Amino acid sequence: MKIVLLFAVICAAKASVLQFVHTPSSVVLPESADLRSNDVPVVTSQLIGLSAEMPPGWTGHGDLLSRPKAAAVIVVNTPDHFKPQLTGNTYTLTQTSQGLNLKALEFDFKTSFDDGVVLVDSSSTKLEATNADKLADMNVDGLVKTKITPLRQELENVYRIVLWLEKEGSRLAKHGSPDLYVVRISGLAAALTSAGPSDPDAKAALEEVTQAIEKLSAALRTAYGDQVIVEMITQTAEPEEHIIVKRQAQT
Amino acid sequence: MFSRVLLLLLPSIAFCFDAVVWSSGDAIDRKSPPALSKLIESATLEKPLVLFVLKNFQLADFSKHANVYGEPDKATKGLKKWIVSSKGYAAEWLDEPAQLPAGKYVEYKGELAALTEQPVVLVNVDSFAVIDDLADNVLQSLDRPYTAVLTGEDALTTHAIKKRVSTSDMGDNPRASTQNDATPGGNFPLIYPRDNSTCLLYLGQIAVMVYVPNGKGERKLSTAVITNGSSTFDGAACKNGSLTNGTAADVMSYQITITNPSTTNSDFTVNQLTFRLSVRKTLMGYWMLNDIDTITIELTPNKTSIFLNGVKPAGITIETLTGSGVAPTKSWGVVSVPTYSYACTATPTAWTSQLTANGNVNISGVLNKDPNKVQMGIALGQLQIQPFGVKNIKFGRNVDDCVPTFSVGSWMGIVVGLIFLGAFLFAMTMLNSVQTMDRFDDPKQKQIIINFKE
Repeated sequence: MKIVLLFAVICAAKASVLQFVHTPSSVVLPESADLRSNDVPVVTSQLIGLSAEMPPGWTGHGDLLSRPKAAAVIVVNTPDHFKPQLTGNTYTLTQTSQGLNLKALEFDFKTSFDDGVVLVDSSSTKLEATNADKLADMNVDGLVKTKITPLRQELENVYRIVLWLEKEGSRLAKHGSPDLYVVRISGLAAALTSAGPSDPDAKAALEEVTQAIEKLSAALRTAYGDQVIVEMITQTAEPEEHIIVKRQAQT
Repeated sequence: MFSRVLLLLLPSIAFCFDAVVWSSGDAIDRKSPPALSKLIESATLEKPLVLFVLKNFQLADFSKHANVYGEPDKATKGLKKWIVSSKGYAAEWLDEPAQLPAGKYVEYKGELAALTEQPVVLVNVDSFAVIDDLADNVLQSLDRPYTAVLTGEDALTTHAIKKRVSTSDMGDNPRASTQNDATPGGNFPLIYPRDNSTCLLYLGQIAVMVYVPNGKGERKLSTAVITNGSSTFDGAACKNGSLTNGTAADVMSYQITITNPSTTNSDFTVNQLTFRLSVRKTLMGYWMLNDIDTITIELTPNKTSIFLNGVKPAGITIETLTGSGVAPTKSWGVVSVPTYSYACTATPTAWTSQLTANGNVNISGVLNKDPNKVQMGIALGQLQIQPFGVKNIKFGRNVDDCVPTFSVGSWMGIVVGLIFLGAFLFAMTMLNSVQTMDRFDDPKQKQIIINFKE
């Protein structure tokens, strides 16, 4: 019995959460749904109009003739008690062996629309942008305050996307295919390395992440005339631990 | 790289279909639009169903064609106009093909008269380039409320049962699935009996095989697969079909006669085929396909083929070759327990025990493996049989299959894996037994002497 309870606690602790930070008025989301982590690409494809496939139990739907023009999927790896607080419909994701496979979503976008689709993939180690010239060259000096790596690099990439969207202006008339933005933020776990959530640096880092996501959401809404889906997936990550072992003195 | 290969494989194993549904008469619930099979079923001449069928249709193609990602435009013509002006529309995910019964649909080929002939109008579309014109032509001419569906060609089947037969979902009413199947003398697949009996047989095809000696101690094989032809069914089916009856008597007995079989074999033509399937109950409580008796296979060699023309055991030219007798089938292993059905894609061959050429010359004698003698037999393809517990002309959920749980390849993997595991454990044991020295040489002490033998 204890083992079962322990397993349940571990499962609950490892649960991911899908939150729709913004959806256009044409999209109707259910009050609740049992989703798995590998359902996220399916749900996104369905709402954006690439496929009619729906996970079992999911009743969300959109207007066949008025689809969102872009989707942004923001994946935040962070400890459970240290998450960005945003508003929007929230669904708990059950973990599966396939995990959150956003490559499948990118693959759907690429294969469904031969060219013209904007694909942006951002993380601490890369900023890949297809059909988004000069996105990587945006000057973000002074916009990010945190010194924590890799969070600083991740937030700088987020702001590069924001600045690029602001510079591009309205993207509604650009082409006839939807755009996809994938943003990965995993530096919050590192912010808790040396101190707890009450540490001022950690608090500031969390606030900065929240602000960056809100600014990205606002920039996307402006660029796509409110016709954009912004999803945030928070995945549980443990704080990094540093164990210092002193060497024994030579005698 | 591996994940990319997996991603590429994903579409090939998918068996589901996108669809777009709209209706000029009824509202469509976007949360749960009506299933395609229900729409086909409920279609009438007064409220027809128009099916636009496009090869490899995907919802993304529709979204692109309808310009749903660009700036809003006014749909003044074509498919989008009809959807916009409908009373309701939705995207739908079809998880299995819908059956389109023969006699309920008509294919639109440019003649508007077709729109009033059947409740379902099938419009085959080559590409999105022509779908707007077709939609304008067809839907403009309909002067009554309609429901329309745009989907892929694989989402529909006009055959009775296309899937493998080891499933129980043959449709709610297999007799209604095709018109010609319901009549006596129905075509393949054979589904007998059709009188709500407690037993059932499904047979997708029959292969007629002929072995002919080539005079060099070897034999040549020629096979004709019968997938079409008129059939009749005779015999007291499901007799003694009681679960409590423990005798070895027949519990199911079918005599099936195939006339005018259609074959594609170039060596011979099958004129007629008659055989009786005999299922018996064993003393242990199992049921078994005991034998196939009263076989009569009559075939005519093709004059242009040398396959059977070279066989002249009695110094005659074969005009007709007939195989008959009883073929035991115990070795097939078509055996199961009551309420279970047995399914097999292809059975072994049941060889006839006697051959006659031109009606009177025995050229084979008895069934044997003598390479100097001609042999003739039949094998059953896409077979499913259930002698007990059938309700509403549907097989039960429990099915035994001729494919074993562990294939030869599985056993190879298991055995090799065990050998490797043994070697690994042996090596681990050896490594574990290595011990450090417990004595060392000391110059102040007497020299260590280790005795050993070569």
